Amino acid sequence: MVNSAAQTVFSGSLYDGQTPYAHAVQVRISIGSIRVTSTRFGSEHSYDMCGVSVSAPLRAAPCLIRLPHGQTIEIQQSARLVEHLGACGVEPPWWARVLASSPAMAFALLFLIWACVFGYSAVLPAISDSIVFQLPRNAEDALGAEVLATLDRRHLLPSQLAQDRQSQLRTRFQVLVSAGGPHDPVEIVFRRARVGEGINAFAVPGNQIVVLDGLVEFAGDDETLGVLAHELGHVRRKHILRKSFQAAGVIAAAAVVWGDYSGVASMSASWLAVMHYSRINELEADEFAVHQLTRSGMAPDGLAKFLRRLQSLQGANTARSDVLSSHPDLVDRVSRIENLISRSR
Amino acid sequence: MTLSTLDRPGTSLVGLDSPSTSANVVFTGSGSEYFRLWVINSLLTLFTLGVYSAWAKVNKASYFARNTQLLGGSFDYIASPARVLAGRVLVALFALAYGVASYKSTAAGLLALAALAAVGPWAALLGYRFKLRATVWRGMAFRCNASVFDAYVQLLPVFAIWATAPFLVRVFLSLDHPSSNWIYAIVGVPSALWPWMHHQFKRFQYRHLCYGHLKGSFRPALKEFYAAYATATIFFVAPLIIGVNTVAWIYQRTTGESWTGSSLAIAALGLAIYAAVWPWLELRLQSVICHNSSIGNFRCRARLTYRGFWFTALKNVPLLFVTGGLYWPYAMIAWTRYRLSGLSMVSSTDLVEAVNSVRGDGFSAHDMSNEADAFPVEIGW
Repeated sequence: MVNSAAQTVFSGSLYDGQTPYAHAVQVRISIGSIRVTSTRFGSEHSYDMCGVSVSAPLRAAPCLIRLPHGQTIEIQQSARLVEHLGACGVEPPWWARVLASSPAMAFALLFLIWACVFGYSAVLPAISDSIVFQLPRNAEDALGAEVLATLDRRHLLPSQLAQDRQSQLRTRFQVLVSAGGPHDPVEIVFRRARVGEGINAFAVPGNQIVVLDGLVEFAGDDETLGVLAHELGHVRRKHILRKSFQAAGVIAAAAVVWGDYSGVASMSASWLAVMHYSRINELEADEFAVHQLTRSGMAPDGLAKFLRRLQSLQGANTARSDVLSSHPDLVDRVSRIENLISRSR
Repeated sequence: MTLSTLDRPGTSLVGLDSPSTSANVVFTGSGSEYFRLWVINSLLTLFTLGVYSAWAKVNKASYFARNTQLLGGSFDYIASPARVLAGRVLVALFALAYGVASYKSTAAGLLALAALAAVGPWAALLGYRFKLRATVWRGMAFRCNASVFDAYVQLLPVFAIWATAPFLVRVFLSLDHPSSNWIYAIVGVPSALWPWMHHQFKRFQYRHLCYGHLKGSFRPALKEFYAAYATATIFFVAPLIIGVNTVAWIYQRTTGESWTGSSLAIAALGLAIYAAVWPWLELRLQSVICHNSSIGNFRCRARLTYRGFWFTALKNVPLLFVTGGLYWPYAMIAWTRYRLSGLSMVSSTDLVEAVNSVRGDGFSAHDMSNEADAFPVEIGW
């Protein structure tokens, strides 16, 4: 491309890097060298392009040409300048070339969306699974013991359930645990809630399930075992630890994408994502429960019965807010479980 | 002021024929252009497991700096990404050490916390020095003239208070039957002192800001800081209470039953309000700082209409939710444009002449290793 002499002269300001004084200059760029002429004094300097760096072209920001010894020339950005620099063999950095290419950007955007969706739905669960299942047992046990000790100090009291009732449930639970082949032993421990009815059972790390008296009092044996089968699902799939690793991954990724302005914004996005993982875990545990109850020859509808009773207890008081909830909607869970049971028959 | 004035340098750089004593800050960043940069930065940071974040940070900072113009000259950000990365690795190691120590035992955790608070002022100083050395306007870098002693005298109390919250949490966790009054201490002490801490930090930064032979100053404005935080709290709490009650009322009207209130729904509402109020606070503090700081004979003036701000916030927050976060870079640009639009630099004499007569400080830009700083990496995030 041939430029006429007049077209290749650019006016700009030269800064010496030591003071903010703007020297008006005329700049002539050619292949391999750059010539700078002072507008006021007419003095001229020539620089080899090897020691010169030219800033990446941006739409409206001025072009900055960094000369040796900390000097900078600032020239107003224009299409003419970009074209001329290209003709002189001054290449923008690779990322600026990607930025300028619409097909490359469309590809990058799709790739980013795909990476987020795929990373979230497949990669992160797979990575946390592989970490969780390789964690040494004693580390998990120690963590579980600490969690239970803290809960005992704060929220739980010793169980007031009769000993024979406890051992009866333990025996039936062991039948449930051993169904379908040998596995790590899982224990149930009985506690009473300090506050409230405590119609609940939950898994803690280290293959333990805490059963609150309120659950046994509220639910019949079959229903209690249904709930325990669900919690056993959490234990076998190591949901608690898995969720914490998934949460760490999501928080890190959200901080990358949205963290540059406010940590709170990226945390809120992570929180929604973690809630979603949590609901997936619940459904997975439900599925496991139906499977395991059937395999051990127990009534597979215990869990569904319990959830239905819980639902009528809670009534219509709970607003449906799926996106923000750690557990899926009870109605959905019950119908899913019933589907699973009818299919397994 | 327009950029075309650069085409005829030597005359008046401000583009005004008569001498002018003020110049507006002009921000020329574009949402669609920054969107592209953001896509590339996010993609590469994710795929390099965070290593590229240092390059991403430099590219982003230089995008915003180069698109900020004052008196016909643009800012620039010239940090070396490798040094940013080194700083990040260092911070990550500190955080890891703290995490491991607190996992081991309460005593080790408290010791590590004390150690973090003790190195805090030093790290803050290094981070600030690095940031100023990397920030260039009209070819000349800014500089921080604070000594390590200055940093400790002014910032150690700030870091000591910062450490009280995790300290109290640790003590709280080690107690068997703690009283709920502990919560007030854990949340209350740092919250009540937060504006003071913020003010102390800003005072440190602006007092030690140098540009050539010009030195920064900062008139204490603690009352204004507290007023800004108090107003922001009202802006946050009042809509939250009104919002929750409105939802409850609508729920009762439509279903005939009372709304027991989902804590998650309330949290989501709180978050949305926070997203709108936080920028307001930032804006308010910006103008307080502007009003009370100067560098040499130059002052900064902030003239912003808050009506325009609420419009920007009300547009940005819903768009962020609707686009699943893809609107983020556009919101960042819109917000920066708004924040900078009311800023101008003022001097008692002709600005161009005043700026042109600023003497150097003997340090050269682009030559950060020359500085006598022991540790030329960016500490911080």
